[in-house]
Amino acid sequence: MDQLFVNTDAATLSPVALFLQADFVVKAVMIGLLLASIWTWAIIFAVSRKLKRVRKAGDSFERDFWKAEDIDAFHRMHGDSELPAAKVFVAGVAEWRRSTKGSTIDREGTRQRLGTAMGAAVAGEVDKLSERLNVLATIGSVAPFVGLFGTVWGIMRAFTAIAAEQNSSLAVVAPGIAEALFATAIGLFAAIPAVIAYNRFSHGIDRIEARLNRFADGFHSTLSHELEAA
Amino acid sequence: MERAEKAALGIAALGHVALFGLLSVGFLATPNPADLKSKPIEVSLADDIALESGSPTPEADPRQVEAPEEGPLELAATPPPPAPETPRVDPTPPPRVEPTPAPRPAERARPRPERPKAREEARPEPRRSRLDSSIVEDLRERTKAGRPRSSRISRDMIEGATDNVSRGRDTTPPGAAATPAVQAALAAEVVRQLRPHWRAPTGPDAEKLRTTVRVALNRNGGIIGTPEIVRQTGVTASNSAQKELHAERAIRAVQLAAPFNLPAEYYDTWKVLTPNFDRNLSQ
Repeated sequence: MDQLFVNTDAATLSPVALFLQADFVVKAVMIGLLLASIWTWAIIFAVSRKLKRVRKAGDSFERDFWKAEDIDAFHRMHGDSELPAAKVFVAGVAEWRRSTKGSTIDREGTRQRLGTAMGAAVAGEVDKLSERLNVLATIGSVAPFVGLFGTVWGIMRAFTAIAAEQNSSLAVVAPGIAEALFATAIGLFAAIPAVIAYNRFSHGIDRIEARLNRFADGFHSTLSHELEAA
Repeated sequence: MERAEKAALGIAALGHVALFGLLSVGFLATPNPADLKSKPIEVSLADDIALESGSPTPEADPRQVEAPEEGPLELAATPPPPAPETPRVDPTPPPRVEPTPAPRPAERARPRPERPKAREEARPEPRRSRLDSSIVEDLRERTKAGRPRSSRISRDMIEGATDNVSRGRDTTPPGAAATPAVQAALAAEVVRQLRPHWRAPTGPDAEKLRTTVRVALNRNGGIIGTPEIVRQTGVTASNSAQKELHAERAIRAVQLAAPFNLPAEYYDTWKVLTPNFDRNLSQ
């Protein structure tokens, strides 16, 4: 009549307990995935703040730029700004000054050089903005596999335990499988935000790049008009 | 790494620690379903309860209380009544004496230490004490000797009213059968003796198998004939390969456990055993 009553209380299924009773391979996987998750969220916080700032400051910079009367005065004011749009502007101005330094001005060559210089500045700024995104992409694609590895390893271990105890009751198997599945859970926990953030940020950076390109084109056309006039 | 990234890293780490802390607390806070149930109560399952007389020693005769020897002085007036009584008693002994020896031999009562001792204290005469050992012997002796018995009448009884054995005041009367509590104790004892010899087969769904064996025992606890399978339950597709082995091991466990060491006075209760072999027996 006495039934085997297994007290699988919730305390043994809490994340900390699951981690502590895991195998060392599974533990390593869990620690790695946890660090990856922390790193992901650090990048998410940092990059989202940076993109928001770049967008806002870029807006006001462009507004100020098109309203500015004197480009040299504007250049003095924003010459050492860290903004991507300001960098593009500084690159254009520097190329303009170098090309128009001499007595004779090669208009066609100057236009091409201006375009190239500002395009290079845009590309450089976009690279700088998106330098952390590859980490997000890597975590987003690899973390589920790492978690799956931990799960497979943990379940293999659980089966070994079953074979050793010759007892297939759920109470014997459950803790091992729960701890193994916990690895996949952490993997997904790290990967899902990483993938979402990667898509969102690459979309935002694309928009910033398009905007920089538009700004560079507008500045380029302004300088071209100046070349005609010169 | 920039300063902003360091700050973001700190925020992320703090957030993770907080999240896992919350999860741990949340898991701990979930009510444990096992706690909500009422605490287990020990229950013994018995088919028949009460309305059945029982005693811890069903076969023993109640103790007889005898009046202290008052001496023949008082009885000197009464000897005549017993003498005519004897022929009247004579027809009665055969039906009383003959059925009794087989199930309950009178010798069993004798080894009990307390009774002779009590007699010796009361009356040092050895012959008397033998006479008092049981009604049967007493009657036999009486009819043989034909001499008047000494008084069994206690002091407060009316003189010469009877010479029947008076009932004991301090012993429980005999019961017709073993009480449910005794049956449960016997069943537990049988299981205890079977346990070392029972090894349940392992395998998928093997714990669901349940084999009931029927075995007849003689008074010494030995097996009469061969144990037979009464029924087998819990057979599923995955454990049907195990059922033969299960039954075989069940019979083997009974054979190995024999002879059973069980109290002889309850032989009627345990002369046929039907133990159930399932996983719990081996745990």
